[in-house]
Amino acid sequence: MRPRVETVFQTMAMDLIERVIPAIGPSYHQGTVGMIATLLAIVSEEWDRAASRRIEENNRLREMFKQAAPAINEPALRSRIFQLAKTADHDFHITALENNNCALRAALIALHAHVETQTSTEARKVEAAIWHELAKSTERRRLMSAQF
Amino acid sequence: MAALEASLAEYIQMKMPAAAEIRVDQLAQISGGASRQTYRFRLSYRERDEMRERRLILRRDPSASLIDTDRKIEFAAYQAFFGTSVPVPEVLWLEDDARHLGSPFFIGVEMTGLETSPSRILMEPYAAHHQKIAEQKWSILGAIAAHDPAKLGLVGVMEPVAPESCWKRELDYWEGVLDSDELIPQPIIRAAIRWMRRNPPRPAQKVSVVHGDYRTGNFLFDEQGRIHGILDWEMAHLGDPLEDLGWSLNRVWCWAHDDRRGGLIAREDAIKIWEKASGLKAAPDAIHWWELFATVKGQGIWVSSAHAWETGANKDPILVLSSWALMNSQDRAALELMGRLQ
Repeated sequence: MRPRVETVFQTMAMDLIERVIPAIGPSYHQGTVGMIATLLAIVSEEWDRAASRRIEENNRLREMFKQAAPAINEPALRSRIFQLAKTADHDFHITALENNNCALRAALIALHAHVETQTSTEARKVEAAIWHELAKSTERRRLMSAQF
Repeated sequence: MAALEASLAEYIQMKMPAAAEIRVDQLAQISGGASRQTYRFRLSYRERDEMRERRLILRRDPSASLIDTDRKIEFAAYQAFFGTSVPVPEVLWLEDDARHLGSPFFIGVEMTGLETSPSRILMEPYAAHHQKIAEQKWSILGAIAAHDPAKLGLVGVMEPVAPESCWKRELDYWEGVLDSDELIPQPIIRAAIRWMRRNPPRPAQKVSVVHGDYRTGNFLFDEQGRIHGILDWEMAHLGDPLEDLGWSLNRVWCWAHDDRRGGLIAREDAIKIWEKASGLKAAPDAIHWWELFATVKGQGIWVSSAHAWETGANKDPILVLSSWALMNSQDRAALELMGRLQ
């Protein structure tokens, strides 16, 4: 789409803040429009990276699951992780990528809880990899306007 | 608005039978916390041949809100602290019967000419008074902790809890909120919860009133940096006073985008002020646990706000904004506290 969606939303957000809000009387409605402007700004930031960050994260989780499977003692969990490691993103709509991401992250929670209870060196390696990935996941989602 | 003004006037007439010529006008909705619809209005009436005027606040329950709370507890907290060293606005009437205004509500006195906004506190003339505001902010929080809930008359109103059970009750509750409302998995906060259960905090030094949402944005201040009122007691309960301190130090309230807590002062300085005012200690391991708990509670609130919006219970944009803007920051705060932020 041209003009580019992120530019349009960013411009609209600034229009709301600089031109519309000062023209509105009651403070409550100013606040509402301010929030809508901020939501537009967030979407403008998220738009371009939305598919990319999900594909990247899904692939990293699958790769981690491949490495982690041998360290899992519990058969049902090992099978779940092994099966998910073999999946791939074929539908690149955001909703489809998000659904795959949710399945992978739900399994990640189970894997994390499992390796925390294990004492092996392999389990510690998997745990370290999980923490590394979780920190990276917050970098992928970080907004310019975020307090932290 | 005219219909609501008329209903308000009718209700107040019932509460003030001696007053004549009661009139409600200038009704306007304002931002006032996430769990109630808040309006300001002017009440005028004749009393003993003299016309009087008051600026009042109406807090009305919406169909669904960011935080599920009991208005009776909120009202009782305002009543209990009014006139003490913890400044709060005066509240007048609590009404559970929805037939008057469409849903339950309470009415209190408006403290006018003051500011609450976290973004405005970063600007002049307020920015020049950050140290002064911070001294009061954490001293008042210490005073809340120092007050005896029994003497305040709140023991019968708020659910009792033993000192050794405070942490578990709160963690169970907020984990339950995540279980019921999360729309997407939360691996970071789930890991935090597991760590917290493996490493419970020491019992509370005392059970005190916990405000529940004590932060910059929930108190009224003036241009000289004086705090006049603590607001939004909708999550008040009995518990470990470190819960409030931990919440006040939450990274998501670093409005200045730096390390200053509440956009005001360094974490360690805030803790010192609180310790002096409360007469209590914030042992490093204990306050660390409660700061991590604040990230769980925060994520519980942002998750339930997203859930309320998506299920259609409430379409207020603040529910989306708080979810989109704060969830990742809350995760990063949890990672930092667990020593996992790279």
